[in-house]
Amino acid sequence: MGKRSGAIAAIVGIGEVPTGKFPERTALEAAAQVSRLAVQDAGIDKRDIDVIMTTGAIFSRDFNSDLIFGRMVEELGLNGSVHSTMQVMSGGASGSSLTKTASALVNAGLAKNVLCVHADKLATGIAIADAIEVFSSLGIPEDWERPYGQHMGSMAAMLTKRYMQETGTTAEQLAAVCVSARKWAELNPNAMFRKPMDIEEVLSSKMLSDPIHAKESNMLADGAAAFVVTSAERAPDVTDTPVYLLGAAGRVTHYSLSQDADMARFGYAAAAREAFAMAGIGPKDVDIAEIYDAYPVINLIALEEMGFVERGTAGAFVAAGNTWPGGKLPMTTNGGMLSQGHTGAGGGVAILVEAVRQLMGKAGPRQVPNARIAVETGSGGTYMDAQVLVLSNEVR
Amino acid sequence: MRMKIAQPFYEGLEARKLLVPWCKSCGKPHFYPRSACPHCWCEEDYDWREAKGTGVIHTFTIVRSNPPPVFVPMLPFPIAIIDLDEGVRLLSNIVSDYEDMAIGDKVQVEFVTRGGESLPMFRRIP
Repeated sequence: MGKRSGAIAAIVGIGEVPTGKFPERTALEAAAQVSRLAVQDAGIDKRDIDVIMTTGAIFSRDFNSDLIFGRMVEELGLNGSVHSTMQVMSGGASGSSLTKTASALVNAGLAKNVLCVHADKLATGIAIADAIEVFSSLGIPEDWERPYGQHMGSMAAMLTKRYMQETGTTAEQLAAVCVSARKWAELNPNAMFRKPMDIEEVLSSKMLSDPIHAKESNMLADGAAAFVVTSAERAPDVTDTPVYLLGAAGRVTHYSLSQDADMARFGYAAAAREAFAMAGIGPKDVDIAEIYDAYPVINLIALEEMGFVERGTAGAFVAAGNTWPGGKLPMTTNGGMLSQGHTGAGGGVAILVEAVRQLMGKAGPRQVPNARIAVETGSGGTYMDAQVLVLSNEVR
Repeated sequence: MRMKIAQPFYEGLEARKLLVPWCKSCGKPHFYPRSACPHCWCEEDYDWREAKGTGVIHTFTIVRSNPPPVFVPMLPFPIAIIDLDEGVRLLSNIVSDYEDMAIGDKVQVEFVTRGGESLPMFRRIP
């Protein structure tokens, strides 16, 4: 196997628990369970974990403090053997950010095996009114935009409205993104919503903020996922199914959506160009697009900007079934936040774990045959950034 | 707590004026007000100029459900992002009819008192 000079780092183990409403399951239990699953999946001894890197939990300040201050070390019985514990949080981009940060540590020789962990309890750990309050403040400047009722839903609506105006994309095409996500979720035992859904059902659901219908909006959920990052050199000795990080890039375009000079475009064009160049591939080489999907418009913008389709044609591409199971470009194959559920920063962690799962060949009934290369995207806050990772089960 | 450098903005609202900060060093405007000029990092107090109060709708939505709790009694209500003629962008509410509203519609500022504060909102104009 030899030296993996073409890869930045590797992911060698993943763990996840079902996403949904689990009032009896504490966030700590879920975080510990996915950690054990990921370490067992990697086949390493727990004492080989030398860094625990958590991402932020939103439902409870106390639980997040626990994550920051070493609770996972103690819960997993790693007192004294872990060298560092730290938190890396960038909202929906956290799957990408954890991977980039952990990869840099192992690549620099500052860590051997980094356990990345997320858990949140946004369905049953926080009152609905409090959750709405939280999602009416994240990424929304207090003095300047909160007095007008701005919140995540209205933000997505304004972005979608602008994108539809600029591209001519239709309501049916946007709804088709949700249908695509649902078709994958039907095959995912960890997804929250698995009942078949069609475009009519999406468009006849309650209007939240024009033009976003209830079934085009993500649903807050409880969930947890973890993964283990190690160096590309060590990876083949650790597992038979290493997944290599070949490229990573991103752009942060704003804090408040109103301050994005060109809101119907994200930073995916620049990020993908750089990530693809780093990996030595192009969009035609990609087998799976694991796109972060808080709202359907994001998938369309990402598909276009990463070069899979021309500007303004992603809606038709999705509506024609190209991203569904069996389609040309399988997209968001866990059902995404639209169907698997929105676990805060975990939406981005789940999509990263899904990309790895597919490349490990462990995706069961939704396995994409012969998948070699996947892109994973993340976007945090008010779509403040566009992160692109290129992952592969081969080193090029 | 509000930033001291932005205080003239609030004083302007009380006098029913929409003030935009212009940098005394690089001469560029920005909005919403930052702690220093985001273009050149000049920390000097801004040159606060009254905006014409006119602009166009860059994008908008009508919130019909699930707003922040305090806004529930106001449903439905429109939120818009407005490009002011001065070249800066702000987020606000539309106070006029909105059912046939479209991107690119012209708007004019109108000051509305809400929660004891004067806020710059916008009315559609021909």
